[in-house]
Amino acid sequence: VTAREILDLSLTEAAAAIAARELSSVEATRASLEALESQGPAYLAVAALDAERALADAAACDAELARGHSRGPLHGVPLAHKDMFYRKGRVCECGTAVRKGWVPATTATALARLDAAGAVDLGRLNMVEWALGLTGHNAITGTPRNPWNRDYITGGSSSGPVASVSARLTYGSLGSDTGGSIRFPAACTNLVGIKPTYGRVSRANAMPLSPSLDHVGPLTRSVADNALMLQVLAGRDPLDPTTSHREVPDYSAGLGSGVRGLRIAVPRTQGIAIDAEIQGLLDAALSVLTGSGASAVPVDMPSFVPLNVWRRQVMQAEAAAIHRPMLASHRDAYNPTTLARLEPGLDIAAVDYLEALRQRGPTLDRFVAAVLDRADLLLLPVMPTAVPRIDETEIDAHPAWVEMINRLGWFMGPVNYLGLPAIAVPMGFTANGLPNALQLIGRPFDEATLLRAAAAYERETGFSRHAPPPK
Amino acid sequence: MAEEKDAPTEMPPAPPMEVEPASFLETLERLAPEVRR
Repeated sequence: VTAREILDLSLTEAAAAIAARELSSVEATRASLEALESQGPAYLAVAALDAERALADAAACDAELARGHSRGPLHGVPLAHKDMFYRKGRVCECGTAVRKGWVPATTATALARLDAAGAVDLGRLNMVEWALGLTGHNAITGTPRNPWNRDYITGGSSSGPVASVSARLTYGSLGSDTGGSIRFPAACTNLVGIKPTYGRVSRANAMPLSPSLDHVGPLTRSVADNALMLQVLAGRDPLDPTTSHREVPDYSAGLGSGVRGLRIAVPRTQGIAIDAEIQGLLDAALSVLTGSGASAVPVDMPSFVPLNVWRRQVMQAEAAAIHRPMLASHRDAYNPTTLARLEPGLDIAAVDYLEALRQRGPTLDRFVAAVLDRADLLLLPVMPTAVPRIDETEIDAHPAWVEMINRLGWFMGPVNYLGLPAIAVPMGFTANGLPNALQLIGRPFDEATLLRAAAAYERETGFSRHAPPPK
Repeated sequence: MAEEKDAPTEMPPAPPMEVEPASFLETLERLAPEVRR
């Protein structure tokens, strides 16, 4: 078996092959480490590998399995993650020079859960500085490159993760999503990314950007892989008081159930112009879903205008509050793009911040009544345009940069504000050759229906099976 | 450059998560489909 064949396995297949002892954890770990080392630099994907520790852990996994012991559903599976999930005693740099060499004293619950399920941690992947940016630009680490075309953005802020998973250097990765940072980069690189319900996955000891809006979730090459990782991550965590006590359902169980009988809400008006080729892909996606037995339900969706304003106020105020001391001491070390997003938060009035939070519950009530009481899922795009190039999304290249960024994130930020679960699923390719994705939004804690519908769509279309060209 | 300055060793404490931290999670839980039905 070649390294390429090992890495072309899906996460689910790799886990099964290791469990069946057809593939050793050391073989899979070595293949992934070598790929990240040799090809990672072409995409500026890797912050630092943890090779020695990973190989030792893989060898221990193999030895345990030989004795008949499995740690869990990810036993021996090598994964690498966004550089913002703390691991006690290991450097964590969050894509910023401010954190150079910083060693946390705690371990993120998300990493601890993957550890307990048997995953092997390969190391840290690049990200947008402090996770604050949608395009993936980072002058400090270098801007990660899209494996589909290196002139194009990977999307951010989970940029290194999507470059690595999409290029088949690793099987899956943890991302975080405060306004689209899982869904947008997944869409840019033909991956599946889920932002779970607020309260479903612990954020404890992951770098906070805006605690009211931060979500942790998996980035994978298929829906089944995503369900497998989410299963491990989801659940109550005493270290994160905002996690729910609700039982976690079996996310993989319904993946083959199809969409027959599901009602898909489709907004009568989207509130923003969607490029014709994206609308065409969305229309085709809806036809696939209805052709598979779902019904389309036209809905009058509440406007995203105030939701985008409130989300931005909450995000900027909370992020600015976290960063104010470091801005005072290290402002010169921040990227200009980070400062452009961060510093306006210093001027947000406390009353506006509190009002934005106060509106959140009632707005969710109204949104569910208008949309999700009438349907099981809401269909939206991830973005209203094709994936843009790196050069055309530079902060200096665009006279209306802030407006452009706000437009790219238009359909995602409100979902963070509402706390609803949402999944990005590959929906085909635009004229520039880049992938794009639809977004399905579900009712609170109904990730199982999201995954079920996404799996049915994936089976029908096969878009997520397409791999980028070899480097 | 940042390296020449003292890097912070601890992340500053996060701001409060909600006006009433538990209330938004309660709203989400109340709106879950099996509760809503």
